[in-house]
Formats: sequence, C-alpha cells, structure tokens
Amino acid sequence: MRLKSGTYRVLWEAHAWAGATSSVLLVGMFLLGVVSLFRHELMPWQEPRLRAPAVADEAQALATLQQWLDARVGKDLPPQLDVDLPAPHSPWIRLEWKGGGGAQTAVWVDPRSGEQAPERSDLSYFLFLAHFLYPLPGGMLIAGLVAIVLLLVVGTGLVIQVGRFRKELVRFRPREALRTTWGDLHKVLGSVGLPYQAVIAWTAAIICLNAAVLQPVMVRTAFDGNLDAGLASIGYPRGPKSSGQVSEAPRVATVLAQARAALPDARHYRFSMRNLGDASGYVDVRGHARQGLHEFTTVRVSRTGELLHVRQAGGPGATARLLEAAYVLHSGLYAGMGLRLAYALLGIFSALCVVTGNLVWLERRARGMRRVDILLARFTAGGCGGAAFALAAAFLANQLLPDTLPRRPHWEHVIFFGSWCACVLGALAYPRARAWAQQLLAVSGGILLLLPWLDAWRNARRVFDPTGSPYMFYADVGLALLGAMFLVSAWAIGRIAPRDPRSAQAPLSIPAHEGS
Amino acid sequence: MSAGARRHLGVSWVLAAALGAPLAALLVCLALPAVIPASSDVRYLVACIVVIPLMAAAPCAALLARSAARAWTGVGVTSAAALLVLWRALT
Repeated sequence: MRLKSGTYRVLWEAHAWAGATSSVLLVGMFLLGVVSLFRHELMPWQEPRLRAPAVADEAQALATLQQWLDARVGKDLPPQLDVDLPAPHSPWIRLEWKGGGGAQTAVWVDPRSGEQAPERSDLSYFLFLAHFLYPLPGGMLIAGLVAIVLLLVVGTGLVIQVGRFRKELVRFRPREALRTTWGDLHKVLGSVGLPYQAVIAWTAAIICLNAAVLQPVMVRTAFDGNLDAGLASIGYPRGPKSSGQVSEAPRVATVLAQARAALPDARHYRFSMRNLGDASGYVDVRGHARQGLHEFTTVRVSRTGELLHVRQAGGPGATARLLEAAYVLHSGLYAGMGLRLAYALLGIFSALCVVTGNLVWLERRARGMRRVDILLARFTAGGCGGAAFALAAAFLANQLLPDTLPRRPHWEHVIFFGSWCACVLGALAYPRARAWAQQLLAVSGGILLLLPWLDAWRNARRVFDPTGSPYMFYADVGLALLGAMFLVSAWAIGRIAPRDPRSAQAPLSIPAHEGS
Repeated sequence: MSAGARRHLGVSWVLAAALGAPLAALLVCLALPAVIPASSDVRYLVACIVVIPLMAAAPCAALLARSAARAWTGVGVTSAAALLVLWRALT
C-alpha cells in the first residue's frame, strides 16, 4: 500500500515536528522510567542504613510500631500517617506524615530497637514522580500531552512506514550517507520498539490525563457532582470525618490480621492511617495481589478493628479495572524481574529512537537551517544531554550531600531540576550544539560509571560483590552499565555526527515516498 | 518537504493542529459523559477510552484539512458544541 504523496508529506512533517519539539521531555521521561522500574530495589543504595538484612520478625515490627503510636497519643500524633511495613528491600519501618505548615516529614524506625532516624534520601521515589513530571506545576497534564504526542509520533511513523515494515526491521547501512545511517537506526529502533512505545504512550496518557483533567471534571459530568459516588466507583470510598473525640491509636496487629482474613492472598505492605488519635480513626491496608493486569487491594479497618470495606484487585467497576490495568501495564507489574529488564532495555531503545529521529530531522535541514531550526537543535541537544546529566547529578548528590543537611531530600530534587535547566541554558549559549550534547553525555557516563566505587569507598564495602547484598550488587552493575551506555553514545555522536548546521545552504526535500 | 508544500502549511495551520485540535478533542471527551444515556461508571469509562485516540487523531485531521481556515472552523465548531454541553452540565 502506498500513500498519496501529499498525505505522506503531511504525515512526515507531523511525525518530525511532533518528535523534535517533544524530544527533550520524551528522552527525560524514558530515562527516568527506566530508573523508576527499579525504585524499590534502589532503596538500600540511597539509604545505607537499609543495607543490613532484617533481624526483626513481623510481630516485633508491629510491636515497635504500636509503641511509637501509643507514645504519641494525645501529644504529637499526626492525624494522617502512612506506614510502610518492613520488606526485603527495606527492613526498617518507614513513617511519613504532614507536619505543621503542611511540610512532609519522613523517618525510618528500626523494627527491633525502635531507634528513629530521619529519611536521608527519597531519590528513587522522586525520580519515579519526576517520570510523570508530578513535582512540576501542571506536570501531570504536560506528561499526558507528551504521551499523546508520542502516540501521534508512533501512529504517523507506522503509517508512513506501512508496506515496508518487515524490511525496516532489519535494514541498517552504517557505511551509507549519514542521513541514511541515522534513518536506518531510527527505523530499526522504532520498528523493534513500536508495540512497547504504543503501549507505554497509551497507558501514560490515560494515567496522566485521568489524574490531571478527567477525574475532576467527570465528578461533575458523569457523577452529577457526587464525589462520593465517583470515589466509590474506583474502589476508594471516602472515610468518615473526624469526630473530635480523642481516642487511642488503632491496634496494628489486629488491623493486619483483619486485612489478612479479608484478602489472604494479598501481600499487605502499607497502613494508611486517617483520623489518627480520633474516635473515628481508620486504617486503609494497601496490598498487592497479582491477578493478571489487576494488582492493588485495600482493606479498610476501623480503629476498633471492624472490617469496613474491601477493595479487590482491579476495583469494583469497569473504569477502575481499565485505569488499574493501564497503570500495571505501564509499570510492568504483571510479571517478574525479567519483564522489567525487558522494559528497561526497550525504554533505553526508545530514548535512542527519539534522539536518532532528531538527528534525521536535523540532517534533513542541514543545508538550510533557519533561526528556529538552530534554536530547536540547541534546545534538544541541551535537553536530551541534560536529562542524562541531571540523572547522574542526582545520584552523585545522593553520595556527596552531607547527611546532616536540613531537608536533604529536597536538595537532591533541586540539584536534579537545576542541573537539567542549566544544561538547556548552557546549550543555548554554547556555540556548538553537538559538542555540548557529547560533553554532557560523556560527563554523565563518567559519573555513573564511577558511582559504584564512590559508594563502596564511602561505606567501606567491596564493589561489585556478588556475595554481599544483591541489591547493592545489581545497583552497581546497573549504574555502571548505564554510565557505559552514555559514554558509548557520546563516542558514537562524535564518530557519526551531522554536519554543522551553520554551514548549510538549503533544506533537503522530503521524497514523496521513502523509496523514491 | 518541497518549498511549495512548506508554504501551504503556515503558522496558522500548524497552530490549529498543535493546539486547537487537541484542545477541541479534550473538550469533546470532557463533554461526552454529560450526553451519553448510560450509568455513571459507563459514562466515565467512555471518556477514558475515547480521550486518547481522539486527541492523537485530531492533529492529523487538522493537518489533512483542505486549508487552515477549514481546520480552524472544525476546531471552533467542535469546541463550541463541547463547551455548550459542558456549560449546561456544570451550571
């Protein structure tokens, strides 16, 4: 099947412009997504006190938590408290609540001794949120729009390649002209990753647009303003309001026993305590129960231990199932570590696909760059290289910031976004976009490659030690591999780089069909 | 792209495709649950299902319109209809 030449040109332009203008966020989100896949496994790396294996059993951990709660009833017990129970990757209890002025506070509690320590870093969770642009104002909406753009790019890419798909899957001609080389690499990466990219784009769009736009409006249009009905439809009904009567804290062992009785196959990992210290207090026990594309469970237990509500995996209605399936598909939660490794590889391929697409776009215009093309070239060079640099800078900050620094996790966030912005501004000021991107990638690769040795030196442990903690061993391997990949990318950009755009004369034309 | 084809796709047309069309598609998806005769859950489900293909296809439709004026007319008529439905639902 062949498209009409006018249609082909319009779709090619849409594909190229959409990809080029959103490439910075796409590359950043793909890289952050790769790291987010392993956010739980990275916790011992970012928080050295979690590296020692668990020494307390569940009963001991629950008793310690109960003591922590009881000691604060009537004094400084926060009304809302989230408790992450000990898990293989984090053998301490993690508590998080909003303090005075709305500031978030998080501490770790040793389940054996009750020793309390402030959270040193939330790096992996922050990178997970940054993957959805959540920390930025309106970030979820922007992320949803970027996902739509990715879907448009994937769709137009598929249509303009229709009929040649099998050939493009394997054709790579590194000795041909530069435009052909980048084009081949872009098509190979795009063809291999097409189903993955389509699924990731669709699920990201539905997750982000639902949270940012659909849910608030749907309450008015689909549920006629009834917020309770809207929340109940996705399986998270609103709890009772505070009664104002001071009361003791819930018995956590009873709460967990009730949750286990209600959903024996789920792995209950978190207590979300609400109206704590109040007579109307209750606990939502969050859990995982792998049932295909449905995963998340909740059991609501009152302060006095009565079962109030059970949310099975998937939720009560079709919408809840759709939304949960989208999240589970997007996160690769429906299978084990092998799938997450495949997702990580495909995520890196997708980032490379976006970068090579940019290079094709620049190469097409290399003979007639207008000011807007040069600005876009510099912006994408700084933004894409900056995404790699910001990632490396955040990991380096995790190592080098003093442990006693007030609001230490916040400074890691500032360094991440600050270094990304600095890279973009630097690219606009630096005369050669390609050299800037190459240097950023090389520095990022160097930092990530050295991080395992830096951490080993700081914490007096052996680097790449397969007999030690598996979390540390795989974190070392993962960081070193990512660093090596950035270094290879920097080398490749230096070896097969587009012409300097400023010496160009006139744009290359787009053929009516790729083969013509 | 040839110089001739490039001239046809002016700033107005690109803006219709990049901004107007996705916004119009989003407004349609938000308004749709207010007019579907079904249960609340199904209305929410329909909005969730149609929002993505509509927002991805709308820019293509704007680009494939015969002129920028036609693209903007489509955006305007669709948005006005959706806003009217939303206004009736929200007030």
